[in-house]
Amino acid sequence: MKPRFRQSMNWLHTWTGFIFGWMLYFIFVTGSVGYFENEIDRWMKPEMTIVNQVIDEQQVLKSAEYHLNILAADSPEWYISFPAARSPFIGISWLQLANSETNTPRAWQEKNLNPSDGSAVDVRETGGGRTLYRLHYNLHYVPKVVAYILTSVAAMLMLISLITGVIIHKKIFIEFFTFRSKKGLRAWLDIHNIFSVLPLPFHLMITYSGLLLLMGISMSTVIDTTYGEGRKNHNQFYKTAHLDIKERQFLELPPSELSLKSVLEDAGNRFKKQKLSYIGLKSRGTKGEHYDIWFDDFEGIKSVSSVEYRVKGQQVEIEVSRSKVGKAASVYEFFEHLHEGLFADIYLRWLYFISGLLGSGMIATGMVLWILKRQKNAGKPNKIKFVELIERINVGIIIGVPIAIAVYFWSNRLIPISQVTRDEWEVHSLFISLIACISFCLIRPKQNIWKEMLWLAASVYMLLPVLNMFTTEHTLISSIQKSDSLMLGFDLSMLFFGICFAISGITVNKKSTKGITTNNLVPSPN
Amino acid sequence: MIFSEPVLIILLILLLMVGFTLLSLSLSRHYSHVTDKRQRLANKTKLLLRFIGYSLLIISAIISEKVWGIALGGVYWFATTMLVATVLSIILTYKPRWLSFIPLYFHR
Amino acid sequence: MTFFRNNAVSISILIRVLVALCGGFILANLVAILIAYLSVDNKVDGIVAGMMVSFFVYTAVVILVFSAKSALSASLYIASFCLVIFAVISYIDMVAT
Repeated sequence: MKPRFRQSMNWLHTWTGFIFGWMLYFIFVTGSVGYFENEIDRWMKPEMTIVNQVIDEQQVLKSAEYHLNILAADSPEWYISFPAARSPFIGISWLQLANSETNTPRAWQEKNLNPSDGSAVDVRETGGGRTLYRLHYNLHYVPKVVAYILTSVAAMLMLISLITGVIIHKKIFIEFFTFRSKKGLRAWLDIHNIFSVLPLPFHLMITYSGLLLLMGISMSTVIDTTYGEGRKNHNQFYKTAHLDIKERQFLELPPSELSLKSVLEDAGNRFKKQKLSYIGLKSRGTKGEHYDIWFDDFEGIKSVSSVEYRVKGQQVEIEVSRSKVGKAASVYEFFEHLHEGLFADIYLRWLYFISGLLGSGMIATGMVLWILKRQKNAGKPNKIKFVELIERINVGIIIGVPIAIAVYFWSNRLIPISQVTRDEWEVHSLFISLIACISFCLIRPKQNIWKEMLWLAASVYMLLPVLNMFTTEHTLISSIQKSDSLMLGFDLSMLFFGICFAISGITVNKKSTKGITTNNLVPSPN
Repeated sequence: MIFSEPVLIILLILLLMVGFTLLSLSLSRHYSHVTDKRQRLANKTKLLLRFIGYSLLIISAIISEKVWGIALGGVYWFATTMLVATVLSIILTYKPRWLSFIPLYFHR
Repeated sequence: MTFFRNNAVSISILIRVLVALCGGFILANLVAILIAYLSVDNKVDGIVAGMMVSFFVYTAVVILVFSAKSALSASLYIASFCLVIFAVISYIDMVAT
C-alpha cells in the first residue's frame, strides 16, 4: 500500500474516531444494555408477578377484558400481552386519550395482572429497560429529530472509522491471527485491535444497520426530492415502503361474533406451533375496528410477522403479513432485525451484548490511544494541559457511563413510589451521576482516578443485589425458590460486573507505579 | 433433528474452535509459539492442518444452514466465529502452551 | 497574504473537511435520487434502495477526499462526480416528460 495513502487513512481514522468518540461510547453501552431490555424491565418493576406455570389463555382474556372495560372504557386501542419467554407476565395496556376537562394528557397506560386471581397489580412508575435502551438513539434533553441527526452523524463517523481501520490493517485479514504477536509491548494497541478486529462483522453490521434505521431522517432530502415534502408525504412514503405481501382469507365466523375471544381461539387453532404474545384491539368503536395479533419474538428471524382480523363486508377476513413487497424493503427489514436482535435466543443474546461491550471497549481504548499518542509527542504547556483535561474526562466517561447506569437502577429502588415524576427523575439521576463522575475525575490526583473510579463502579454494582434485598421482597434465595429467573439473572449479573470492576481495580493498583496514565507505547524491558 | 438446540450450539462451537485452532497453527508464527522453538513447521503438516481446518469450517457452515436456515444459520455461524476467534486469540497470546498437544499429535 | 501561506496545511485540511462533509452529502443524495429514477418497477422501493446505498457513497467520498493529492484535486473530483450524476438525472427527467 502506498505510504501516503496509509498515512492519510491513519489520520482519517484517528480524527473520525475522536470527534464523537464519547457520544459513540455512550451509544454503544446503552445500546448493548438494551439487548436485555426485558430482563431490566422485570427488575425495575419488582411488583410484577411472574407467570411460571401454564395458564388458561381464555381465562386470562376474561380478566383482562374485565379490567379494560373499567379502566379503558373509551380508549380506541387495547392491548393484552400474554406470557412470553422473556416477559413472563400478563399485562394490559391502552391508549389514554387527552381529556381537557380532567386535564389528562395523551398517554399509554399499562397494568400488570396477577396470574392467580386476575387482579390488577400496582406497579411503580418507571422508565424501565426500555427508556434505558432508547437513550442510545433518542439521547435525552434534546428534541427527537436533533437526537436522530446527531446519532446518524456519529454512526457515519463510526462507519468511516471502521472502514479506514480495516484499510490500515489490511494485513490483519490476509493473515488472520498473526497480528497478535506483540506480547506485553504496545498493550493498549493490542487490546484496541482485539476489540475491533475479532467482532468486526458485528461492528460493521450494527453501524450500517443503525444508519439504515435512521435514514428516514438523515436522508430525508432524498424523499423530499423524489416523492414529496412535508409530513403527510413522508408518512405516506413510509406506509408504501413498508407495505407487506399479505395473504387474505375469509373466515367461517359471522361478523357479529368477532371478538377477542374468537380471535384468540382462531389464532390458537391456525398457528399451533407459535406462541401468541399480544392481542390488540385497534380503532375500537369505529367502523374500522380490527384485531391484531403478534407472536413471541423468539420465533426466528423470518416468521409470520403479524396477523390482522377485520370485518369486510359481510364476512370476517384474516390478513397475514409475511414479507415486504419491495426488494430493498426486504433487505432493510433484514438489517433492522439484525440490529434489534429480537429473534435472538439466550446464546445469541449474550453474544450480541458481549459484542456491544467489545465495541464500547474498542471506542474507549481508541480514545486512550489518542491521549497516549499526544502525551508522547508532548509539546507546548497549553497542549499538555489540554490533553490532561481530555484524559480526565475520558476516565470519567469510560467508567462513568457504567456507574451512571447502575445509579439509574439504584434510583429505581430509592426514589419514593409516591413521587409522581419518579420515572423522569430516574433518568435525571443517570445524567447527574455521569456529570458527578466526570467532575470527580477532574479534581482528583491524576494517578488515582482509574483506581478510584473502578472501585466506585465495583461497589455500586456489587451492592445492587443487596439493595434489592433490602428494598423489596426479592432476595437471591427467594428468586431461586420462585423460579424468577429474570430477577435472579439480573442480580447475579450485577454481582458479576461488580466483581469484574473490582478485579480491574486490583490490577490497576498493582500497576500503579508504571501507571496507565503514563506512556505505555515505549517498550518496557520485560 | 435428533439433537436439541443447545447441543447443536455446542457442536457448532466445538467444530469452529477446532477448525480455527488448526488453521492458526498452520501459520509458522503461531506454530513456533505453541511448540518448542526448535520445531519447524513441516510443509506436510501445514497442508494437513489447513485442509482439516478449512473442512471443519465448511462442515460447520453447512450444518448451520441445515439446522437454522440460511439467514439465522448465518447469524449463528458468524456470531460463533467471533466468539471462537476471541477466545483463541486470548489463548494464543497468554497461554499458547495449552495448545502444545496438537503439534505433537501431528508430528508423528 | 502571508496568513494563507503560514496556515496552508490547516486551510487545506479545512477545505477537504468541507468538501467531504457537504460534497459527500450532495453526492450521496444525487446517487440515491439516480437509483430511484432508474428503478422502473417500484419507485418507492427504488428510493429505499437509493437511500441504503447512499451511506457507501458518503464513505467513499470521504476516503477519496482525504487521499487525493491536494485539496484542489479533491474538490475537482467531487464536483465533477456531482455534475455528471446531476446531468444524468436531468436527462432522465427530460426524457420522462
